[in-house]
Amino acid sequence: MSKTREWFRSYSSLLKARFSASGLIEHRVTKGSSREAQILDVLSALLPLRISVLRDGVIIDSSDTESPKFDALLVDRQFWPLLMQQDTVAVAMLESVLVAVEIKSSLGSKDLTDIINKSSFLRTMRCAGRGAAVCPPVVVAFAYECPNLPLAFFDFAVNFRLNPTKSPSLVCTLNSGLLFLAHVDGTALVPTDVPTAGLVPAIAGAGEDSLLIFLYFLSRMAALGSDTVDTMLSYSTPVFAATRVHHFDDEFLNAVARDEGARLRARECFKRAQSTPFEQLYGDARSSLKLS
Amino acid sequence: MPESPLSFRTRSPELRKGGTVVGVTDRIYDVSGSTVIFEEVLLRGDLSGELEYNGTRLRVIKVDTAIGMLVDQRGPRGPVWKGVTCAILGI
Repeated sequence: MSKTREWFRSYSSLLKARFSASGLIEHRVTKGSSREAQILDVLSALLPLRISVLRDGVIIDSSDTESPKFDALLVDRQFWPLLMQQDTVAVAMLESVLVAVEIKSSLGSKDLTDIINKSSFLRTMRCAGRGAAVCPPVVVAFAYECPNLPLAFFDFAVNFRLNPTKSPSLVCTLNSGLLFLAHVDGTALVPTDVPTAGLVPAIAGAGEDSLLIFLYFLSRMAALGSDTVDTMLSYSTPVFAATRVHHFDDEFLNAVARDEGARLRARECFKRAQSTPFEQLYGDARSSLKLS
Repeated sequence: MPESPLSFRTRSPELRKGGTVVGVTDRIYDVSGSTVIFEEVLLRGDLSGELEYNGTRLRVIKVDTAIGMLVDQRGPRGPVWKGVTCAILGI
């Protein structure tokens, strides 16, 4: 195992241990703040220095439209000013934000809906000029736990099919997997940062390597056009070369996107206990729609 | 359930036509929406028709400035097109 892989697995173990420890805090807001701080400390330490990690950020555009508050904003502070900073709250120009980040203790259905709603709002804000990277910026999320990853993937994939350009780009669940968007290149899927119609929502069950792949994706999104981040792929080739992903086929996605009744029937299949293999849940969902 | 390998293909500033490099952008651009504007493209071949850029199909629809030889702090190079607007045809 490469040292890079070991280090990131250590970070993952540390985050998991701290998450458990913060679970003893009864005050919900304090517990949430502690958990946000833990992952943001890791990101602040490891992401390229050109990227500033602003905690509790609000984004506004030139027409004074204000976004919901995000747990963190990855901002290019090298060339872009902030509009306001007071204590721990910052207000950033829409064009200066590279990535908006949401952090959840647990990725339940309501949590994913919250992420999707915030992404939908942000992705429809109007850019006055060229952005530091992509404008409007992309949205990613990190969760310490996910009670039902197959169901989360179903909701992510269906939402993307219904509203492709407004979708979050990436959701990482610690020590579990990643939900992301990709385009088809022959027989492989190539991860794509900017949500665009025609992409394929995919899930990678990366387990303990989820954090490593998450950091690669974040670095790439905020690389400001540089291809130096791709060098990172060489530092843990077994992870990046061996990751396989699953996705729903077009027939299934079209069926659930087209008809709400079909969507609800299929969703019921994914609500079952996570001990059921993903392939079986998917097979049952297809059967519920009378797909072969 | 469909399963595929993941390809973290290294992104490139190269514009290709039929697999051949015909242009190089000044940096790697994220391509989304209906158009993309490259600030600078170094010509290596024929940029007419359908081009491929990091897995996305493009077609040049407007060029602000065509320069035979450009000399600046990045050194001499050419021919160079500045302000190249491309229509995004799809993935």
